[in-house]
Amino acid sequence: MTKPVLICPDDPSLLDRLAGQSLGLRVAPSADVAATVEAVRRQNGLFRLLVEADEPLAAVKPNHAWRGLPVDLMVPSAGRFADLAGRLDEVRSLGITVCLPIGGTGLRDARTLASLGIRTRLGLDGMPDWDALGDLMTYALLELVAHAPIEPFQTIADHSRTDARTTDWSSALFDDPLRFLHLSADGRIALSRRDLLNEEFVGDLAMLGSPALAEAQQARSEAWRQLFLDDHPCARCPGFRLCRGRYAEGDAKGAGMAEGCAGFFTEMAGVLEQRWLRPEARPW
Amino acid sequence: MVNILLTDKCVRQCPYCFAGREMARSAAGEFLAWENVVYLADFLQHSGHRRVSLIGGEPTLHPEFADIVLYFLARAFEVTVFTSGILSDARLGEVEKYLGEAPVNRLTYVCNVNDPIETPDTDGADERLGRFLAIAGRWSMLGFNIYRDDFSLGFAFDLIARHDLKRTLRLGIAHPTADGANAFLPVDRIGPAIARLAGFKADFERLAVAPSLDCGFPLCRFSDADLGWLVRLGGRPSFICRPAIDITPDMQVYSCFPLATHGRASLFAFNSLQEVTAHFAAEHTRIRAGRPGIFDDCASCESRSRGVCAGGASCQITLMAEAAS
Ligand code: SF4
Ligand code: SF4
Repeated sequence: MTKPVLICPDDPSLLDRLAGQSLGLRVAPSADVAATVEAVRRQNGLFRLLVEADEPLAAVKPNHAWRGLPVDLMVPSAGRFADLAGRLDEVRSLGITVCLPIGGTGLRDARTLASLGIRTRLGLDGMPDWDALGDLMTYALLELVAHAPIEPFQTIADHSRTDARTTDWSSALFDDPLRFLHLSADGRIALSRRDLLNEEFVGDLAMLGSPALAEAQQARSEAWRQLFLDDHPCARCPGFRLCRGRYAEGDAKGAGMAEGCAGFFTEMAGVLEQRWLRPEARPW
Repeated sequence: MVNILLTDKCVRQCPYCFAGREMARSAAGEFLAWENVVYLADFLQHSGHRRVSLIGGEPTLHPEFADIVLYFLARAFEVTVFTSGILSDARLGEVEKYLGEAPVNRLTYVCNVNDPIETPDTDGADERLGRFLAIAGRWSMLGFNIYRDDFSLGFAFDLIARHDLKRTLRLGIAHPTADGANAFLPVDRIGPAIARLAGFKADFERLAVAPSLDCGFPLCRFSDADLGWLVRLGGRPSFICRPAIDITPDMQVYSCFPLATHGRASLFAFNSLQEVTAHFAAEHTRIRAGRPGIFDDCASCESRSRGVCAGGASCQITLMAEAAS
């Protein structure tokens, strides 16, 4: 198993204990990232900066030290477009990805920003408005004119052409337990961001590299198999190949459902097919 | 020309209003949804078209009016807003705050004004218009709809001079709606109205204002001398009537208000603006199949066969054909 990326806060005492690891650093918008990044780069690999803002994008003052770094700016919304309009060039020139929630104005904001050439990523935690998400998915995958990628749809589209039985796009949300581990400030390890927020930890830093941790990662990664053993409705869902039971504990009400998660992922399969049938998708 | 109705609501009751039927149809006063704004920008860009006119009702009533203008500008569109210039204090403040830096060559307000003697100010509308022009004058030109042949333009020249507006005055013939219930310029009054317009030649010259004619003016009712001064002052008169595409807040599409019932469809039924235009061009051809123009002479007119004049507006022709049958 390749070494996972550790998503962690930029706490100096924690960083001191992570020499040699590849890091995704969670920082505040005002953080002096130049110094931190320099220090991290000396001892570690920098995967991404995850800038956690609690204001709308329109109110966040872009930090010019982000330029040239892989930055995900997590905001609760884009804010009023009129307040953002004058800053679009600056945001675009920084090359950042704007991460939005699926609630509130998140879906609308993702479409707006993507249409203006700004990469976005949607956190797919919680239950979305499936109809609205379906509209955005169609917009993202069947673009009428070129726009910036909206994750995780872009990753799903890229991965869905393989022959694999299922499409794994959890890495687009840093949620693949084989590739990402989430650390608390005191060094405890969670297998997903949701687990981190729920304070469900599998161990602490001493566990890094251990067979026990590898086993926990592998088990989480293959948790979907249990749905088949339990004959869960997801096992008969036409959308399973793309979803892998992500909503098994929430909205999954059974195969053949026209609405909810099953309807959404089934629609996505159809949209992907259309996408690949378009002439421009076939370079030959 | 693509006109996007941001809302069906309006703040005025103009006697010639083309949109009255549309507004009555949707009494709730719908607003165009933001997702559709993005869709329209994509649809038009995909069609190679980078110009939009934002109309209403009164488009500035849309709660996201400034946002929508800025969005189209950010998408590299040229934007023309057809407004009464009668804005609430809050909306005027937004225009000043958010649109005060908009490029003058890509944003234009066409302020449709009415003769204050014909339609007297009831609730401070003139004062509000004055405040709008004081703030947005750099981006603004006036528009005037002719619905009678004894109209006056003196008040418009006063506004242009007082607020140093863009030196173009858009002139439209008020055409009849499908039911002919609005005040409009009857076919037999078009000639006298054009003669009346020529009477303001000295004012156009004095203020260096270009007269810009909207669709449906008949070429034969202009003398060569009239055409001469119109062109010399920068007007580029065209005597054509071709489909303007109007898109409603609920994404219906038709060819201009007066023809709102002809070939109306959902915009989502089309893949490009070219398809929409072809659909409505066919409607216009169908309308003119029975009667080629507004005058009897149109049938054998050389200007029409050479494509220089359309023979008046299709909506006038429809109304005449309906009256005849
Ligand atoms: S779409 Fe819903 S029902 Fe289908 S596999 Fe996913 S969670 Fe299960
Ligand atoms: S086509 Fe009709 S309206 Fe036009 S110039 Fe000829 S007669 Fe006049």
